[in-house]
Amino acid sequence: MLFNSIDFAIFLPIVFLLYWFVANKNLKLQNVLLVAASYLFYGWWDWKFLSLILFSTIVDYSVGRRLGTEKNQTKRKALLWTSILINLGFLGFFKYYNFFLDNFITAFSFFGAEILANSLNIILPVGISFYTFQTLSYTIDVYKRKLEPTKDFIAFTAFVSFFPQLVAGPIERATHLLPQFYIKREFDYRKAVDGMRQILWGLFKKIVIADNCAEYANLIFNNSAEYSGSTLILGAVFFTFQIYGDFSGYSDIAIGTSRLFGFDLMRNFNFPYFSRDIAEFWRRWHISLSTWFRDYLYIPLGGSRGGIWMQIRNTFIIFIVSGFWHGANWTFVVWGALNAIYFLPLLLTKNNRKNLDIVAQGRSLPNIKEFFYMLLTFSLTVLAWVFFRANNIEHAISYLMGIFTAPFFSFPPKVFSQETFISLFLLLIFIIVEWIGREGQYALFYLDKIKYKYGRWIIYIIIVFSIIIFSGSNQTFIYFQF
Amino acid sequence: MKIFIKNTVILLLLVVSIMFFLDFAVTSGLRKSNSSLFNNLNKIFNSEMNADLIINGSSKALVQISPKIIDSVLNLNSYNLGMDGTGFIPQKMQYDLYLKYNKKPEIVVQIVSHGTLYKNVELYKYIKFAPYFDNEEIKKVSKKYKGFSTYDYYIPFIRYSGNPSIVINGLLNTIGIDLRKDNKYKGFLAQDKKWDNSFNDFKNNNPDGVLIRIEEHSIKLFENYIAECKNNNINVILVYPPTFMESKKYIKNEDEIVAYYKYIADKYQVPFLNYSDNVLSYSTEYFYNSQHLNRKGAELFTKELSVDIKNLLENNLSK
Repeated sequence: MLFNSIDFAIFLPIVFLLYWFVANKNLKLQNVLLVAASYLFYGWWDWKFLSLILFSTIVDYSVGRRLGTEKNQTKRKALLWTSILINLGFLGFFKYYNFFLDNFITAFSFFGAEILANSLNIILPVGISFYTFQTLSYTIDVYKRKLEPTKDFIAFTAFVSFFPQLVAGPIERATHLLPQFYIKREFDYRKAVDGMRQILWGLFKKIVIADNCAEYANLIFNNSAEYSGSTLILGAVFFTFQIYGDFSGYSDIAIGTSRLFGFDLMRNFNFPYFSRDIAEFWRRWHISLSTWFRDYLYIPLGGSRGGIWMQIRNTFIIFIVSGFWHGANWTFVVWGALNAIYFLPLLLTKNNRKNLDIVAQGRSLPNIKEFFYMLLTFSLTVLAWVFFRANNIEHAISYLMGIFTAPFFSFPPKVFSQETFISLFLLLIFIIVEWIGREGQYALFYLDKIKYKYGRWIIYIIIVFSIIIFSGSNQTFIYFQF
Repeated sequence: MKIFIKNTVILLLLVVSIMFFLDFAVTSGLRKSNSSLFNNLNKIFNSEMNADLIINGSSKALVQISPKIIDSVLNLNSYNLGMDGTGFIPQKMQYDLYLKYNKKPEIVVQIVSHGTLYKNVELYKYIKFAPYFDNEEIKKVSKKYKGFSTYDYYIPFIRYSGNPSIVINGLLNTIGIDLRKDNKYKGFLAQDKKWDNSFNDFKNNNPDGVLIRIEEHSIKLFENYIAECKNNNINVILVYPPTFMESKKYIKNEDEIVAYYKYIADKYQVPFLNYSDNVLSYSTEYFYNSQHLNRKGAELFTKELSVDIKNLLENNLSK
């Protein structure tokens, strides 16, 4: 079920009403309802993959219980590796099998050895990368004794399959989300209103910004050989906002929906395009994944405790693995490596933790220096997104080379229509609203500071009708494929 | 909780009320619009066509047959009902609406091609039907195609979602401002374009050519339509316009399709003018793509067609 569908608009109020009016007196019943709703939500795509989630849930629940009682360290380690191998095994099979097979065949044929193997027609289960990492966080934390293993199977099932964040995050930590299933949720008016507001803003980001940008990004990327440098840059900028609107929009809807049910999810985006350097960008982009890799990969590898070479090695490892997490394509690996290269000068000069505050805090506009650094960081990000969006490495390189091939300026009518200017105008409005709201949890966070209720309502109505009127052609969420 | 639900319901009611209002305003505005997208249907519903000769067909009618030339040669009032990107099902629906709201034509020139009896999956530029959902025929036909979603038929204003220019056009027309002018002349949309490279792309993508599947329902509808016209004493002329010669070998069953129209013409005793081998077919000078004549080609073709129709009329339509 997609957040931006009528199906979800019907599903959500029904679950909400059942949750607060039927199941409100009993914690167990609230959790059972959430599990049922989550399985229905996921099964809407393909009910067959529900068995995969259930299996993963049973494995990690059982491993967790055993880890809680097992004293022998070797056996505990074996249990941990069982969970890791099963979870990553599924992920590896569904997501990377064909990639590795194709690359092995290519590598062997390079040395003159022919391998006869057929790639399989594998359908990637939606959200597998997200829930796999979420369940792994539970097992690892229990193994490290950071978390008591749960005895409540229903609460654990609800934690693994919680529908607002099941298919595209934020990737929650068991230490943060699981305990929320142990406590009976009470309705909180302010929290619910704030949730609704965040859902509204998420829908605007997805339906208006991402879906409109997607039309032009797709047009330009799919026909990149036909276009001049200026159009190719525009295409990359459109994709830059498409992916932000798409993914952060999804996170906003997920967080907002959770708040309606009394849950707090972790923040996933913090106005990343207003970053002044790449390190700041990565503290603000897909926070739940970055911190996951930091805690479960970077720190176990030694983090920044070793010498400079170890830090460089670890930085490259997490960026490349992070790239590979996104998909089985070398483009994602290059995208990750490119970001590691961007990060390197900051690491070597020990400036990677320089910009920890909010840009131009307490001021309406940035100063020239801040503006320059924001623009530079944004440009580097746009460049890296070309690899992320391209079909393959050759496509990315030809796209980038096309930018520097004459003539630079041209205005193809297919791209520069009346609708393009409407999209650019909407993008400008969006950037202004995000800039004004950058000190909040999301752009409309401080809207409740407007004293008059009807003033706020007018803004909500304007957003609702902007979504209806300016909606782009319906595109699926990009991160579903990951 | 009560306050939350109360406020949500009030806000929802406000949104729905505004949707009803906007739906009404945009719909009534678009039904007055002169823009090319809506004005054929607007003229039909307002009984403003009343032509002696109707040209019916897809884009092959729309961009290739000039009523101005037909009027001058035949000395009658003609109108081009050509509807871009459509097969026979929507063409027939529009023709039926024409008959319902306008005077019966004496002659119908039905432009046929390999695409006429092929049913597209999507209704091309389906938004042009949005202001007319109160008409059951339009609703019935549009439901047969991909385009509008089920919700578009039942939730007010949703059908205009994602079309800001059309919403603005409709709202402005409601208050009497029509910024969009019709760029067609009596339904004819001349194309001042030179030969483009789309045919090369087509050849590259389909080196072995394509087979056009004719759809059963469209065949039945087409034959009923010819029979109806005959019963109503409307003279039907089937016209197969020129296409770029090289493109013929890429439509594997073009000869069979032409033969089918010939068979129908013989069966119902109606004239069939076949220009598939016309002299215009041999030069890209007259086309902007392999299937459509540009303005120059369209004017030359219409002149030839008008003279042929004149001859037919003089010979009591016996070709």
